[in-house]
Amino acid sequence: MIPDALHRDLTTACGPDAVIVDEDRLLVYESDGLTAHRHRPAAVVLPRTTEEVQAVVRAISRAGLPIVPRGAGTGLSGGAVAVRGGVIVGTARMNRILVLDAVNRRALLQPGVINAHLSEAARPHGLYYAPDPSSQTTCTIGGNVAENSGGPHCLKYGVTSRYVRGLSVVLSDGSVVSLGGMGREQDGYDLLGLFVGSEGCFGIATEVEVELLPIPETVRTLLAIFDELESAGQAVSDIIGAGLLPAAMEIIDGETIRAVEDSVFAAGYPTDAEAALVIEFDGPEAGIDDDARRAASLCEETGAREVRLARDEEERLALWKGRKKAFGAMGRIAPDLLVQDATVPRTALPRILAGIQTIGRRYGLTVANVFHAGDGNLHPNILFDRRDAEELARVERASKEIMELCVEAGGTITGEHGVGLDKRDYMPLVYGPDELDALWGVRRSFDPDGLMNPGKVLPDVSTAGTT
Amino acid sequence: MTGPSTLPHVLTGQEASDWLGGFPAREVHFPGGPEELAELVGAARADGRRLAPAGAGTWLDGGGWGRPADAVVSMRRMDTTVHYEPADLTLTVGAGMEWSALSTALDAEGQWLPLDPPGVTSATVGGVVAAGMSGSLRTLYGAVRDNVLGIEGVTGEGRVLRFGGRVVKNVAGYDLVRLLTGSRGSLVAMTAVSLRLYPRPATDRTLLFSGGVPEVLRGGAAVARLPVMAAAVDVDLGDPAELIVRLVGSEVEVSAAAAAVRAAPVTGSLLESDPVEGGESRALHLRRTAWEDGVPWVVRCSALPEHLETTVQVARRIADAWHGDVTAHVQQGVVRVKAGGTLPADAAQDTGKLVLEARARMEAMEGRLVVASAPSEASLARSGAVSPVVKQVQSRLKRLFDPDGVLAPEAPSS
Ligand SMILES: Cc1cc2nc3c(=O)[nH]c(=O)nc-3n(C[C@H](O)[C@H](O)[C@H](O)COP(=O)(O)OP(=O)(O)OC[C@H]3O[C@@H](n4cnc5c(N)ncnc54)[C@H](O)[C@@H]3O)c2cc1C
Ligand SMILES: Cc1cc2nc3c(=O)[nH]c(=O)nc-3n(C[C@H](O)[C@H](O)[C@H](O)COP(=O)(O)OP(=O)(O)OC[C@H]3O[C@@H](n4cnc5c(N)ncnc54)[C@H](O)[C@@H]3O)c2cc1C
Repeated sequence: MIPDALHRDLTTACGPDAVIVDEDRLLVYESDGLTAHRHRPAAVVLPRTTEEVQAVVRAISRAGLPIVPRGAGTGLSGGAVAVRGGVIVGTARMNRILVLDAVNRRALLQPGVINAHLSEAARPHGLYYAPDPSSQTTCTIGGNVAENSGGPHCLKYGVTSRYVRGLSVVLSDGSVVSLGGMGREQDGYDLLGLFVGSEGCFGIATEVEVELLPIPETVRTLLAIFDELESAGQAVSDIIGAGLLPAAMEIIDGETIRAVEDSVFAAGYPTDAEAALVIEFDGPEAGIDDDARRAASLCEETGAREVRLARDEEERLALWKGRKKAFGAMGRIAPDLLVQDATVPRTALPRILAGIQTIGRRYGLTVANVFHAGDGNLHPNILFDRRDAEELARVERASKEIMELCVEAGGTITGEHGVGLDKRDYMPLVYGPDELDALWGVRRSFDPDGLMNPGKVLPDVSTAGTT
Repeated sequence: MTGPSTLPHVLTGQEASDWLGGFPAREVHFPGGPEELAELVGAARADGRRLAPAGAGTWLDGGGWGRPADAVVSMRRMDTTVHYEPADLTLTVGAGMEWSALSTALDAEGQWLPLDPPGVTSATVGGVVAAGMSGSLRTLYGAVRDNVLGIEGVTGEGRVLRFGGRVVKNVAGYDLVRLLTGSRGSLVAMTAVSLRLYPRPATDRTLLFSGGVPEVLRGGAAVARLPVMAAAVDVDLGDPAELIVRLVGSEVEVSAAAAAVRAAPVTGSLLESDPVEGGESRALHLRRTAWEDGVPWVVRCSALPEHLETTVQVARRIADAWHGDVTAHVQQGVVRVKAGGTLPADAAQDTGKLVLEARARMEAMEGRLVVASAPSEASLARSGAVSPVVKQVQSRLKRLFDPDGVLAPEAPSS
C-alpha cells in the first residue's frame, strides 16, 4: 500500500503499467537470491530513463518512504529487499546498450543490461567485459556496480570497480551527478570508486560506462582431482607462489562434487574425490602451454591424483560445468542454503579449509565449499532446513564461527556478495566504532535523509554513532 | 626492508626551510607511528594550527591541493614492513617507506608493484597513494587505486582509522580505501598501506621507433589497438618524435608481441633502433616517471584515446608558447606538457588565456585539462568547474574527516 498521491506521481512519471502495487505481483520482489530474508515492498516502479528515475525518486522522497534500487534480484546478501518497506525502483526496463565504442574499448549502458549480454554484443568487435559473476546470464550491470561483483576470472583481471569508468547517478533528492568518465583523468575525490560497492545506499546508477578488453587469443583449462581439500588449497597457493597468473582457479569440494554428480548437472567428476580444482590460463598462444604444464606439475607435486587438460571447447565447458552448476545442484539436496563469502589470504587457505570442516563437523552440519580459490574467496555453503529451529540455531552459530576464523586469519566477512541485510550484524568483526561512524558519515554525505536502501550494510547507529 | 630511519623527530628554523624547499610552513614533524601522529593532530586542533601531511616532500603543494600550513608532518619515520607474505602477493608497509627501497626489496622476491605515476622515483609509498596518480602501466595493471587494498590513517580529529585489509577481494562496507586513495592528505594522514603485488615478468623489453610526429602518433594508436596489450605505449614529441612500446611477460610471449607490434600499420615506416631489455628497460621507464622533475609548469590533458591527435594539438599549442615539451600515454589518451623556469615574455602575459582556451577545447571533447603545477603568481585554475552536487558531497566528506580543517590540503573545486 502506498499513499494515493505517490501512486499518482509514479504513474504520471512512468505510465500505469510501470507501477506494481498488486500484492500477488509484489511477491516476486519479496527476496533476492538469498531467500532467507523476505520483506514485501509497498510498491515496485520500473522507470525507463534517467529522467524517469529522477521523477520517481523525487516522488518517493516527498512521501518520505525508503527507496530500494533493484536489478535482477540475484544478490546473495538481501541487498535488494525492502526491509523497512518503501518502494523498489527496478531497472528491468533500463536494459539498453547506449554506446558500444570499439575504438576506445568502452561501452555506455543502462544499469539493467544483463552482464552476459554486454560481452555478447562486444564479441563481434573482438572485445568482452571481464568481470564474470557466475550469475552473469541473469544479473545486471547496475547490480554488479552496487556490489562490486567479482567472478572466476577476476583472479587475473580484477573486479568490477576496475572496469567501471563513469557513472550517472540519481541521488535521493532527485539530483543527477556524473562521476568519472573515460578520458577524464581523475581529479578531486574518487567518488566514482566510492560509489562502486555502495549497495544501493548512495543513489541509483542510471548510466554506466565500462572498459572492455580484447578477447584473449586462446585458453587452456585444466582440472586437477585431489583426495584432500587442503592439498588443493596448497596447490593454489603454490601456483601463485611460483609466479604463475592463471585467469581463474576455482575449487569444488567433495560435498559439492557429490551434489553435482547426483544431479542433472553431473559433470563426470569422481565422486570419491575431496576436491576438484579448475585452472584456466588465457592470453596469447605463445607460452601458454608452458604455463599450463607448470601448473599441472605443481598440482601433481601437492598430491593431485589426476590432472586433465581440456582438448577443445567442448571439453573445456565440461570441466567448468561442475563449477558453474554447483549452486543449482546444492539447492536440490537441501531446502535451504546459507551462502558465505569470506576472503582469506591465499596462503591461509589450507588451514582455513580444514578449520571450516572441523566447525561443520562440530555442529553436525553439512558444509559444501565451492569458491574462487585463487583470490582466497571462500563460499562455504551450509545446507539446512529452516523449519527445524534447533538446526537453524546451529547454522547461525557455525556461520559466525566461520567468519571469525577467517577474520582472525587476516581475512574479511565478504569478498563479493556484499553485506546487505545478511552480514550487517557481522560488521563489528572487521570494523571498530570509529570506522563504523566514518562509514555512516560517508553514507550521509550522499543521502542525508537516510532514504536510500535503509537497513542495509551498517548496523543501526548506536548512541556513540551520531555525528 | 626494516629499520626505522634515523631522522630527527622535528625540524625547525633553517633546517625546516631546507627540507621544505619553499613550501610555506615553519616546522617539520616526523612522528614515529599513528598514536604519536594522533597526538600531534590533537594538539594542532586544540591550538587552531594547520598541518600538511607529507611523505618525502617532493611535491608538497599536492599539485594545487595544498594550502599554507603551520607545520608539515612527514611519515618518513614510519618506514617498516608491517606484513609481507610473498605467496599472498600482498604487502603492508609504513606510509613513509621510500618507493625505491620497496621496489628493491620486492625485486629480491621476484615481485613488483607495477605502478608508474610521475615522481615515483623520489616518492614515499604514502605519497604515491595520497596522490593516486597513474602512468602508462594502468591499462595492463590497473590504476593506483585498483592496487591499494587497505589504508590506516589519522583523521583531522586525531582518530586512527583502518579501512580495507590485506586480502585481494573485500566488499565489507563502502570502499573508503578508494576515497582515501588520491585524497592528497585532505581527509586523513596515512600511516600504513596494504598493496597488491604481481610476479615480476621474466622478460621486460622496450621497442623504440622514431619518425615524424603524425606517423609516430598513428603508429602508437595502431599499437594500442592490437589485441596484445602492451605494458606501455608512449610517444615523445621531440624531433624526431619517438614511439616507445614496452612489452612484458615470458620470453616467448614478448617475442610474439614484438612481432605483432612491428607488423602493426605504420610502425614499418618508422625507424626502429635497438630494443632495450630487462633492467635497462625498467630504468628507461623509471626515468620517464621523473619527466617533470624540477620544472615549475606541468599541464595534463586527457580525452578518449581516439582523440589523441587533437589532444596532442592542444598540448602542443601550450608547449610551443612556453617552449616546453610534450609526451603522451597513448592507451590512456593522456598528454603531458612541461616547461622550465621563466616563460618567454609574450607567453607569460597570455598564460591564463592560453590555458583557458586549451581547457575549453579539451572539455568540448568531454576531456579534461589539469594544471598540475604552476608558480602561484600565475594564478591558474587547477581544473575545470566542478558540479555543485559533487562540490557539496566533497565538502561534506572533508568536514566528516576533518571538521576543523586541521589537515591543510583541500579538494580543488574551482
Ligand atoms: C547462482 C549465483 C551465482 C552468483 N555468483 C556470483 C559471483 O560469482 N560473483 C559475485 O560477485 N556475485 C555472485 N552472485 C551474486 C549476485 O549475482 C551479484 O551480487 C550481482 O551483482 C547482483 O546483481 P543483480 O542485478 O541481481 O542485483 P540485485 O540483487 O537486484 O541487487 C543487488 C544490490 O544492488 C543494488 N542495485 C541494483 N541495481 C542498482 C542500481 N542501478 N543502482 C544502485 N544500486 C543498485 C540493490 O539495491 C542491491 O543492494 C551470484 C548469485 C547467484 C544467484
Ligand atoms: C618529477 C615529479 C613529477 C610529478 N608530477 C605530478 C603531476 O604531474 N601531477 C601530480 O598530481 N603529481 C605529480 N607529482 C607528485 C607525485 O605523483 C607524488 O605525489 C609525489 O611524488 C609523492 O612524493 P612524496 O612521498 O614526497 O609526497 P609529498 O610530496 O610529501 O606529498 C605529496 C602530496 O601527498 C600528500 N601526502 C604525502 N604523504 C601522505 C600521507 N602519508 N598521508 C596523506 N597525505 C600524504 C601531501 O599532503 C601532498 O599533497 C610529481 C612528483 C614528481 C617528483
